[in-house]
Amino acid sequence: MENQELKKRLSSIRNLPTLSLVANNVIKLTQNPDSTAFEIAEAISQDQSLATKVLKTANSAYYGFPEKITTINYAIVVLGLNNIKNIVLSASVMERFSKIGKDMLLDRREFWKHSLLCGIISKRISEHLGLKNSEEMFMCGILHDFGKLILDSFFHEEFAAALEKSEEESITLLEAEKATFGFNHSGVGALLLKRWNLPPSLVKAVKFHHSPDESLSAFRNASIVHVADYLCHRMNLEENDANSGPTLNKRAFKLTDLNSQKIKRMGPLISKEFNAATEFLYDGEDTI
Amino acid sequence: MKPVSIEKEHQFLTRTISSLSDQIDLFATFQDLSLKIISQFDLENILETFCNILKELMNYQSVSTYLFVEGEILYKRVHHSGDTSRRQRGIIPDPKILKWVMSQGRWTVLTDFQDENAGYLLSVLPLKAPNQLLGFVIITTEVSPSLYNQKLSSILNFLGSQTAIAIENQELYSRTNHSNAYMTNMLESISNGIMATDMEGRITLINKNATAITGINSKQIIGKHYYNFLKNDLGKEIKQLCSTIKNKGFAIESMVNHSPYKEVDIIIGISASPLTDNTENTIGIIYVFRDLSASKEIERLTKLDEIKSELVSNVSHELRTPLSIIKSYSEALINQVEPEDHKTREKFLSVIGDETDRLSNIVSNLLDISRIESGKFTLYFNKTKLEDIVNSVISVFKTKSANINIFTDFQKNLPPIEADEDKIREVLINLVANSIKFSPMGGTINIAVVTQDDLICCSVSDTGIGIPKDQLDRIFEKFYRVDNSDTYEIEGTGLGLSIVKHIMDAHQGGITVDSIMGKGSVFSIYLPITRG
Repeated sequence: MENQELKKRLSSIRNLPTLSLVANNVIKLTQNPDSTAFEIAEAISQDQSLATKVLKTANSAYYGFPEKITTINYAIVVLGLNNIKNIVLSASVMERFSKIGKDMLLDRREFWKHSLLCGIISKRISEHLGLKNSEEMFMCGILHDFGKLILDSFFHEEFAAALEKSEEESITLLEAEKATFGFNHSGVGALLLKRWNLPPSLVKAVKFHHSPDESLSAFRNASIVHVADYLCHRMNLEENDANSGPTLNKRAFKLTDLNSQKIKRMGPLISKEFNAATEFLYDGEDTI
Repeated sequence: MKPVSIEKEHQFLTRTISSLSDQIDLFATFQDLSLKIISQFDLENILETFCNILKELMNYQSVSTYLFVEGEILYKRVHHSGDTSRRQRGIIPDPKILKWVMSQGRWTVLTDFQDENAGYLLSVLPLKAPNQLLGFVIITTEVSPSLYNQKLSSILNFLGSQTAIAIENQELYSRTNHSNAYMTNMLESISNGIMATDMEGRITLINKNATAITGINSKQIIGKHYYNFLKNDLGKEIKQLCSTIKNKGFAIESMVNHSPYKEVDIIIGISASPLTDNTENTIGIIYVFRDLSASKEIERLTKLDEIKSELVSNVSHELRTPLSIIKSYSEALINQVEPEDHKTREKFLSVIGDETDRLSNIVSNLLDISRIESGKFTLYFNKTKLEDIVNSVISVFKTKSANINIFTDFQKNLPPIEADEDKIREVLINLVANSIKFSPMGGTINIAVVTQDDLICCSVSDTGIGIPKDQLDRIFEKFYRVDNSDTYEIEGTGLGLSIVKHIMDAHQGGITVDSIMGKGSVFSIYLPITRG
């Protein structure tokens, strides 16, 4: 039911954002295990601004490679394909959405800062758990609230009403969205990411990041993003703290094998990484 | 359904299936690699296998494996394969870059494959076990733009981690082996016998000394109950120790006589202590066996040696006193006493006579003891009356001791006895002399003779200093002297009562003693009236 309604609403939007042809091609290539670095470098080089962005991010303090990386080829073999995929995807998404609409409800900079922090914490938690896919978890964290951008950009008035409803009735934004739209931002985000052919594990982590219990196969990834999202609000590293944080799912928290002491120890590391990762925040001229 | 949709679905399915079969291939490769690498337990073999797999994967020019020696700062090359030219043997990336690659923990290519000046493609594969970095592999290959892809990267990272785990296992394995051998050597080198059992009493560990001391000669010991091997007193003792430890939980010591082999009797000292695991649960018992026979023998000889040196000092002192008196008196007689002074001469001569008696007494005591020791002590029985002997003894002392009163109390109609008169006199002289000796402040001595059934009893009681209760048992021991250093300094050889006891035993009689400290002592001798 919910899904049908959502699909109907989304298909009503004519200019629903798509990834650029180049970005789409790069993502596809990185998902094929046989693609060579050479092919991917060729693909990225098709879009000069994307190539510049990739090199800038590859040289950022976040990756901290001790030498200057001057070519896309070198960036790919040094950073590895997962990191390159993350850079391309985040750069494309941020660029896309920085161009849409004026007077938006969500402050784009704050929104991406929260997303980046959530990405970094997700990655940290994955590393803490010894998981191999920490780079993918970084992306899950970055894209977890992607749906909010869609709602803000394409269902502007209703989203404003939902925000107001959540404040007035002291209910979570999620509940307010459900009441207003019949669906919520995690579903919207997941649906669009799925259309962009992103890996199902990433799509599911976004879809269930507020309710990890509801999916068996994505429980782990969704739990990590869920806890990271919760910690973002708790850690107060971000200035925008208007929305009261999500409620913590205990089973998800248990899975992350964290406690207040471990979180405290992670704190300085996370803020250091966050400061080093600002290259991810798209600083194009048309922002704001 | 529209044909377009079917076409799309078909494409989707084909893609999915091919991607799935790729994944399955990858898994199969992983499993294959894992089996090949993990089943090795020798570093050289592990690295050889690693290089063989690598050759199939990427046809390298050279591969050098480095392992960290200390932390992640020092490393050394442990293996090299392929091109051995000097140029390629020593290639190590810049330390900063190497450190960065190690922190990323994945296979990293460090050459731009479009760099026209590059003679080879350099890459680093960290050897990363789940909990630690063990080292890294430097790989050089031909410059090729198509080398690097996600699949190879995944396989290499997997290979790196499997190799690291195999190296870690190999290290653990050899360390365990080494420490096992070390423990065994240690166990066998301990001079005591060591045996451990589980809580049910099955032997879990035993060293050669333990089998030697206990006399176990079976080969199959481990896993069997100790009661199969340890019988008699030793087995019972261990059973006792075992149940005490189970009840009380602390270590205990014990001693048992044991005969491990025919005609070998030893004393085994056993220390038993509970064997606990790291959660403080008692999981067994450890027994330490020591052969105490040697140490017991040494203890006895040491004691004997002490006694003998004490005797020598006592005896020489005892001999010297009368000798020096005799010497000084006889010198005075020759040089100072006028030949006409008969009174003084007589007095001096009688002193000399007394001291000579004392000397001969000591010498005869020593002779008695040596006779007793060598088993040449014999009695000469004749009919006599005990009260007569008593009276004759008293007459000797009455002339000597001014401040001692001696009373007698004889039962009427005492029967005659059959005894060695001289020896019994010696006994009584000893007892009365002791009573006088240990009554330094004076007092009374009562000598009573009564019959008790078929025995005749003579008791000598005094009002002397008495004997401590805990030493009563020992006063009849040879050379034993009551430690009275802090009461009175009284001379003696410690032989008298030992001889007395021996004489009484030889008469099939006996001697008893009762004493109260500060009040006095009563020595009673018993003799059979008739001799069968």
